[in-house]
Amino acid sequence: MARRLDLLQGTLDLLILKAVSLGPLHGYGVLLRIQQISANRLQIQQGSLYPALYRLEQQGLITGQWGESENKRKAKYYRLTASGRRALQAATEYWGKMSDAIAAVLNAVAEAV
Amino acid sequence: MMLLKRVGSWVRATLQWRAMERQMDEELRSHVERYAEDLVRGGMEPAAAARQARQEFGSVAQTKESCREARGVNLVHSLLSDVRYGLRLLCRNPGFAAAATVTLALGIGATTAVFSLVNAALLRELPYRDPEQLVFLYEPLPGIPNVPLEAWAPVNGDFFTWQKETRSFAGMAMFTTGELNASLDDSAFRARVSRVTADFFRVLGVSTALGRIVDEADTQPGHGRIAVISDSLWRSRFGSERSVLGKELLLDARPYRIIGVMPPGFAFPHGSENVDMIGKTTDLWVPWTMTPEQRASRDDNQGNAIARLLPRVTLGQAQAELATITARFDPPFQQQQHQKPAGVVRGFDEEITGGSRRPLLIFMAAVLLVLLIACSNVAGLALARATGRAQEISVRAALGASRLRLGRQLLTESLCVALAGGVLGTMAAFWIVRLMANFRAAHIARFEETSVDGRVLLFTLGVSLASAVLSGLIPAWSASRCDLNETIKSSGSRGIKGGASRLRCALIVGEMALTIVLLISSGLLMHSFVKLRSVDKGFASMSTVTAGVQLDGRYNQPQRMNAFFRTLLERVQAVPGVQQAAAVDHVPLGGGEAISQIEVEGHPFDQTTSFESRLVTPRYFATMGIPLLEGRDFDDGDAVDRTPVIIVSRSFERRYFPDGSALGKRVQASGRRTIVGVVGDVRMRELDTTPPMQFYLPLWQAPTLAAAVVMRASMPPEAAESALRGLVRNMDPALAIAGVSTMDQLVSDASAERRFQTVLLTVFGGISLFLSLLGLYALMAYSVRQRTAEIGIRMALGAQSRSIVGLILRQGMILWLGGIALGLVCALGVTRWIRSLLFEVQPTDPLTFVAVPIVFCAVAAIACYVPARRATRVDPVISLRYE
Repeated sequence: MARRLDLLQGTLDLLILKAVSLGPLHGYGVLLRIQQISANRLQIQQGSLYPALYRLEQQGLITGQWGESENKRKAKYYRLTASGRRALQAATEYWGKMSDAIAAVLNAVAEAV
Repeated sequence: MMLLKRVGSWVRATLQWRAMERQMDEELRSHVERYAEDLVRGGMEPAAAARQARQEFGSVAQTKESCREARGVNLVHSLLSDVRYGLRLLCRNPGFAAAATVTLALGIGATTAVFSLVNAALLRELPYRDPEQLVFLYEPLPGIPNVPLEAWAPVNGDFFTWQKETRSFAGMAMFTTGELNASLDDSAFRARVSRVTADFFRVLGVSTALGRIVDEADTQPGHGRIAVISDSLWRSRFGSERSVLGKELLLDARPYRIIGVMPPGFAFPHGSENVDMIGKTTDLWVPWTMTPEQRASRDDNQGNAIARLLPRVTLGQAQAELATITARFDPPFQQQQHQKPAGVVRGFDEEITGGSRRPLLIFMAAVLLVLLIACSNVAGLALARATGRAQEISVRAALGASRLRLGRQLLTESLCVALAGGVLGTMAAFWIVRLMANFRAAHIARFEETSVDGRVLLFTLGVSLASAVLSGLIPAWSASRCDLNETIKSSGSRGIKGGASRLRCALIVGEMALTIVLLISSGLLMHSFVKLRSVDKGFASMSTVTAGVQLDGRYNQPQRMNAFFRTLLERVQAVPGVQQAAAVDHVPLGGGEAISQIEVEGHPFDQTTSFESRLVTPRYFATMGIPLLEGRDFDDGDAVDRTPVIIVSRSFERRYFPDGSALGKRVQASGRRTIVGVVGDVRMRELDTTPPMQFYLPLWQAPTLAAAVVMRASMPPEAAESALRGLVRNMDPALAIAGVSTMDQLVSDASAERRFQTVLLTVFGGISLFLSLLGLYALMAYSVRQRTAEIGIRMALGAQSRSIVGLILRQGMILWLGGIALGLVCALGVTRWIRSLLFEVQPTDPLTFVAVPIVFCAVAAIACYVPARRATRVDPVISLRYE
């Protein structure tokens, strides 16, 4: 199995927001979706997922609701709120700029400086 | 918005804590189950899948804890669980819990009791409308010493001019204080009566509970035979009947119609506001009727004056206005006099409570020291306990409890202890307050109103919380610093010994230093009190009884007054068991005072020299045990129509006739008088001030309506009192005796304030001595336990038990000597603050500063010796196995 990448500090929240923005999900579903999109390249501590979900819910970025899952099981589904959507957008832009900038720094070669 | 939502979520979360917990459980469990199912679907054995799912998820407990934290419900919930946990631990260790609770209860109880004094005297509002606007008005002549400001009531003329012309005051009123013979249904009693001008009740802002108050028309000449009575008189003499209005009672044999009843608690003027009055309350108010001449008089100043300032007028502004008015209406008056009278305005609070402020603040400071000692003692106990709990704390830290969380847990425990101590302390305070009432410390303002009220309870709560923090912070901080690896490695029995013991040692040294400060303070007071009790009063108080008799207007001739007292004294003398009897206008230490200026022939008149003067009958000096040093006593021959005579005090003679005898010399004192005798100096006003020069006039030559009978009798005071009461009633049923007391009681009352201060500070000193020695003992016992192995090895190697005792004692001695040294230095700096409470003792009194450390050393040695002895009983074999 290929070595998975540990998450950078603070990126879990962003990933959760993105995952939930694609449609309501329960906690385990969030984990699966992130792994699926990232093609299993990211290492997510399962235990750390829930404190993050609760924190985002407390901040009002996502909201949870109890419903029934595919196999008639009760589950708590999280969906993005309006302010969550704004936060996701802002964070995405920020992330893009940041990774561009860092990539530029790291790709620099001696002549260009 | 955001904030509101968050608070809402927090409140909901707190309220729905159980539901949320259940949902969280469900969510996490279903996660693990789903994952396991997926693993099974991937081809894994169900059992192995479940195990791997749990393993990959990690610690469920820790995740939950993080979730709770993320949701923000933690504070309340964890507080509750901390409280539960703390209580459980305390129950498991009842020794610690009891010691800590009782210690804090002592500190909190004492603090609460003292605060209830402060509350009554300084904080509780006076029972009048807007009391901060109320003031007393005085008109002192500057340059005359020895006369209290209270005696300088404004003269009538000036008062009424002020009242007419002022713009700074909303109202002014005058009142007198005094006692009259009241009589109701043929039973006579002495009533405290105040004559008041029309605005009196309006200035104070009080009205009657029943009927009406005195108004302007009542104070006109020819009117005024009406009275307003106090609630307590209404209850005691009229059975709370509403039909009391319109009833009549006799005051000095004249009928007065009752027009009103005051609400409960109103009894102004109180004794402490006026030197003339011994009692504390007023029973009756009657209109003060004055003729226009009396109103304009500039000699009459029988009344005291009160006034209400207009809003936003300061004392200074009001005083300046009075000065302007006086200057305007009477320039010639100022030219005649060398000193011009000046109006002085003093606030009610200053007047009523000003004198008590300093002693009360000293008590408060002292009791806060006691509280500090109690807190540090509990902190010391908790530190020792934390050492024993190092294992538990390290395990909790290892399981992921944060330092903050651990500290909070320990703080919660000390909060439980402190609140229990607070409850116990409050109960103690109720009891102490009741006990304190027995001290009759009338000099402390509003002492009789002291009680535990809402504000006091609030204060107690605050003090309990503060002591929780004080006593819990150090152990919490020290526990949060404990080194995990070290503790767990050493299996916890002595992991953090070093740091915590050093802290405990520091605490104990600090406690002992504070104790030394308190002990030295109380020692100084005790020494002062001993000096005060052994002071030469100038009279003998043993088996002497005194009672006041006041004649009324029917005795309007000097002969009648003298005849009454002469006959009364003859009859008293005839009572079996009475050895001597005499009369005087004011008995020593009885609260009355007469001060005058006289001219000694051959010396220029000096207005600034005041004399205490008394009117006495023959045999007064013998009855009171005042030594007659030269010449003769007055005799019944010194009558109105004979040569005016006078007797002077020893200091009088020394001052004016240093080279020879005063006998035969003359003075001008209500006529030209010849000195016929010299007597010893008497402490008449207070025990703790050197008396001024004194002189005595024969009462037969200066007849008076009011006098105190003093009798030296070999019978119980009650028997003497009832004999006197019977004699007076036989002579005149309308007269009542009042102010019955033994001279011993008056002497005791005169030292009541100092006794109270001394007892209070001594109790504080005692409590702190007990607490700090308890702390020292606990520390030494603990240290012996910690060093069991070491002691075992020493003994196995042949150490004598004496050297073991020495070893432990040395360790303790360093502590207590450090405490004493630190305490002495602090005491040297602090004791000058209590100089005002001392009597003939310097704040650096060598006796106290030597005796206190010696006593402390002795008891500290005992506190250390007991654990040291125990150390010698260590069995080397067992102690080594103890590891």
